[in-house]
Amino acid sequence: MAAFRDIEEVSQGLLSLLCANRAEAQQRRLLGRQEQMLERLLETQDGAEQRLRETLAAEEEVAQSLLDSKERVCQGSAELQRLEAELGKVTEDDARLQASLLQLTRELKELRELEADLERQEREVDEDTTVTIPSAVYVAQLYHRISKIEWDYESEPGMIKGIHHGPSVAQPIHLDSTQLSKKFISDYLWSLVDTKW
Amino acid sequence: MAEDELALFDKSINEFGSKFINIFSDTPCQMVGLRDAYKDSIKALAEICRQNKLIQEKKENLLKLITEVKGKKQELEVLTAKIQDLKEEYFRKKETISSANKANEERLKRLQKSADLYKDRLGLEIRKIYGDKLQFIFTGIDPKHPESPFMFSLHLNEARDYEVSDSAPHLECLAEFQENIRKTNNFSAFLANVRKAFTTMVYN
Repeated sequence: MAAFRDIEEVSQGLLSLLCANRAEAQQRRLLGRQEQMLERLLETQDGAEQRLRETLAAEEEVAQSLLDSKERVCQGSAELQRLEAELGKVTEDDARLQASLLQLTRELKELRELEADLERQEREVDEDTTVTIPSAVYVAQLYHRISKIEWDYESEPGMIKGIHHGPSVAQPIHLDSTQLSKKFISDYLWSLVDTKW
Repeated sequence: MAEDELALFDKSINEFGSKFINIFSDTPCQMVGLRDAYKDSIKALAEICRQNKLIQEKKENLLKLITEVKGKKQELEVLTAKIQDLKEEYFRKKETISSANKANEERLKRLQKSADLYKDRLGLEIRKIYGDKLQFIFTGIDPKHPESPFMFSLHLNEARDYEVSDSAPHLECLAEFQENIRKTNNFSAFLANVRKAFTTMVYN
């Protein structure tokens, strides 16, 4: 019995040793598995943090791009406003100039009409100079040639004064028209004119 | 010890888990936000594109208008200068016409005065009538009717000779006078004789 007990002890001792070995191996396996899990955890954490960073970076990029675009839209608006204002001003200038041009064109037309009128007046003056006056001169000269009488235009009103240029003598004429009849005067004056051919 | 480590490990996993869940439970909103921001960005770019086209259009319009305005300014200058020139020219012409007219008027007045004196005092009116004829009208011939006219016409015919016509009243001796004046060219005697003939006719 003592020997049985010894064998039990030894076999329990051996069993416990064997179990201890398995436990160690199991422990080693478990530790190994734990290490793996830790690694995977760290990897996953890293991966998640990376994704996060990327997302934040993308957000920032888009936000910045949006800000830039909005800024450009603003600038574009301002530019459009500026252009609009300038267009407005130039359109005003254009309208003003157009009105002025219309005004001046009308003025020019009036001047042309004036020109036509002036030409007419010039023609009238011309006619006077070339026709009317020479005609009147001719008649006056004819009277002189016929009567051979030269009047004194400075004589007092009512007095007929002048000179008759006869073939040999120049005879003065001095008649008071207030005292004499027209017929007498004309008869007298004609009597001075020589009927000899 | 292993127990502690396991507990720690467990805690780590739980912490990470909850942190992960917190952060990424927001993810749908974040993603939506990001997508919206992206969409806005695209819209903004489209707006910029539209604006640029509009700006280009307006710039072109502006340029065209500026060119037109420039052209009109030049036209205006030309017209203004022309009008000024014409005004000056017409002013000068007007002055010239005015003074010529005045001179002519004065001369005509003097000539008319002279003719009137002769007509009045001699009782003889000389008129130019159609057909290049001269008409001579005597008054003061008939003492009973001093105003009644005694007239005849004279012209130069094709042969450049004096030709009398249309005497009223008719004078027989006019033909003889015509011959005489053709020979002598003595206008003075011619008219004196005609008047004498008219006067004699009245007294008979």
